Amino acid sequence: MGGHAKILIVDDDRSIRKTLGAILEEEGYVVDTAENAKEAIEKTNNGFYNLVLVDIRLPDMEGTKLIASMKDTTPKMVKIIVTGYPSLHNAVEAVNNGADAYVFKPVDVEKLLKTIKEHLEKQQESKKYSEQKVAEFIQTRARELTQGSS
Amino acid sequence: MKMRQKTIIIIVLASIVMVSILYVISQTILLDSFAKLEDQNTRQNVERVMSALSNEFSELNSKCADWAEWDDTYAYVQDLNDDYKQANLVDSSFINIRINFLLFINSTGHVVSGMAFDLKNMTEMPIPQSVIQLLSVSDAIWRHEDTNSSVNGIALLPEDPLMLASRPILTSQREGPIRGALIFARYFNDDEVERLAETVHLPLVMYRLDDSQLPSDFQEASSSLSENAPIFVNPLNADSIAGYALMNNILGQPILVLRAEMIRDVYKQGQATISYLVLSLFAACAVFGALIMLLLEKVILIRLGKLITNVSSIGKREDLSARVSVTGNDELSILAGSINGMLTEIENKTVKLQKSERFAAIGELATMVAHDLRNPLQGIANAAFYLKRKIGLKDSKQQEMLELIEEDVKYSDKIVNDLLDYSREMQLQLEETTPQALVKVALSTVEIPANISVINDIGDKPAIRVDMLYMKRTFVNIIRNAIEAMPKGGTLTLRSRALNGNVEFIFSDTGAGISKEDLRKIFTPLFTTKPKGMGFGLPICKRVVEAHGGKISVESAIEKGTKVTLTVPVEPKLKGGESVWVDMPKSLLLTTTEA
Repeated sequence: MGGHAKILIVDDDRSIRKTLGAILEEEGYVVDTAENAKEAIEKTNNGFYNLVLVDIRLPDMEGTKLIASMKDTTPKMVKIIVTGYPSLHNAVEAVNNGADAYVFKPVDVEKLLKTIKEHLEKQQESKKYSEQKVAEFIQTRARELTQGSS
Repeated sequence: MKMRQKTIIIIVLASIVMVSILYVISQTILLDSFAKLEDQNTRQNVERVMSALSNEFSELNSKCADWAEWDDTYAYVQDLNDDYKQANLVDSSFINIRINFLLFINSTGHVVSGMAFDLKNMTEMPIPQSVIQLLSVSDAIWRHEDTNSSVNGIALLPEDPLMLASRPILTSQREGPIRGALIFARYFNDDEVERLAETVHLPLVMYRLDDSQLPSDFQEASSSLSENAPIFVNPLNADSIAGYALMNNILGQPILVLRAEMIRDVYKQGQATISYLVLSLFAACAVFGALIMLLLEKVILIRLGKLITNVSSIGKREDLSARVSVTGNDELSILAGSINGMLTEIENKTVKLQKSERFAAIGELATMVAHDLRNPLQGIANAAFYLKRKIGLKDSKQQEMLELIEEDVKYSDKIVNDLLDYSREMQLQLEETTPQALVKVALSTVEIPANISVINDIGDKPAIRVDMLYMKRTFVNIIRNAIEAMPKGGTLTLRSRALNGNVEFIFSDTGAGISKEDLRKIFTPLFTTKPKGMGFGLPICKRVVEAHGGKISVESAIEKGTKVTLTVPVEPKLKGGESVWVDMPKSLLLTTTEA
């Protein structure tokens, strides 16, 4: 279903990591988890993830700060903030820091799955689009080169 | 110092000062007048003595005149016949007239006949040489120029003063020529002074001025006495006072001082009067002071003491309902009343404070619990979701159970949200809307049972600015409460009207109503009459309305229904209401990560 997209769940609560992980795996995603911001940064630096779900409150750093730091290293990764403290201030901060989406706790799982799916599809499309652009560029350039040499 | 001691000291001091002042005043005024009275009295007595003495002289003089103006005497002085001598110059004449000397002097100053008699021993005595000498020295005594001439007075002899009367010797028809002078004389000695003293009932003492042993008081008197001041008064001691008078000789020269002594009864009476006055003043002050103390004690001090004991015992106890007792209708009662008023105020404030502290503590705890419940709830929800997917539609019973879990998670989530809403600072996002639109949105989210009819009489004016989400929740809450109050059906009436810049929303139902006791608590958080519910509904409604600067009130009657009235300003004053009801624990705020 998910086309083997890799998702990283960053949450200090074990049961959330486990249950959400099980649901996402059931949906066909490859799931990895991190307990805190430090572990999350290490994992995203060492491997590629299509999407990261970040709890707004982590033991060592605020979720919004974490995604801000990930923005530079993994710009294409979809970043979703999960918060138990819905407020306008939090939402604005999350978006400013580079979050792609913002969901409230307790998360309506259906809604979350839908959000994840939409964002991954968008990512896929833009990837396809850029691949297509690159292919077109190569073709054009190759044509120019063959024409230039002939 | 205690008030009682102070009062006693003040009363005693005031009494002493008062008595002292009165004593000094009475001493000066009363004693002065008493002294004047005494002086006057003494003078009068001295005058009485002098007048008694003057009577003696008159008597002597008139006796002398009787003898001198008599034909027999007239003849005798010339012929010295024996008949006269034997008939008249006898002891009895001396005794009757009480004289020592009877002298017949001719016109040339020679004693032609005479006789001396000792009145004490009742015997005849020789005429002393001193008398003869006196007559030869002072011819004024015997020289009479006319028939009316008369000499009487005192003459000083070396042995004793002499009282004498001298008259010209005339015929019985008082005709001359004057054949000389007849002299009657009496020693003015101590016996005579004693006799005078008996007459005037006063002790008398007489001294000659030429006495070498003149006592000091006589010396003082003699120097003070003069023709202009014939009487001198001088207190001898505390018991007696003396009056002095000068006596002159025939030539007008002072020769004797007479002293009359008197008991100072007037002065003593005066002093006794002052003593009685002071004593009675002291007694009066003592009685007065005692009365004041008694009054003070009864009317103020005892009651004040009771009040103090009362207040301090209330201060020590923790009983907030304790009051001081109020008796009478004076300043102390007013004080007790105001203390009671204060105590009531303290009680009310303390109860209120305790209540709000309890609520704050509960709120704080609840908020903490609510936050911590979010994660496990999420876990449960996730797990249920997973299982539901896994099991699929194969087992409907299991599906039902999982749905129940999900439902209860949702309900738990609602409780958590209510708790957090209640404790969180409310930030309103104002949008313009109409009363009608607002109620419509609220009604659309509530399922109205078939047995309840809704009368919607909400107007579309005026436009108001509210936080749609919060206001909708408030309306939904009130509508739901109304529906729950009418399980057997009824009518829910919604009405609105513009009122002084506010919009008034009225929700009335025909339900069970709320008891008076419950009505007082419905806005208290955690109070609920429902089996399922945390008791945050109406408190949150109140918060929302107050955050908009509005008011909410509930009227209800058992078995008749409940009426909820919301007054919301058209343009909310955002500062209205209490912005923070419960302080969020710092650990739950998101601003720090350092911990």
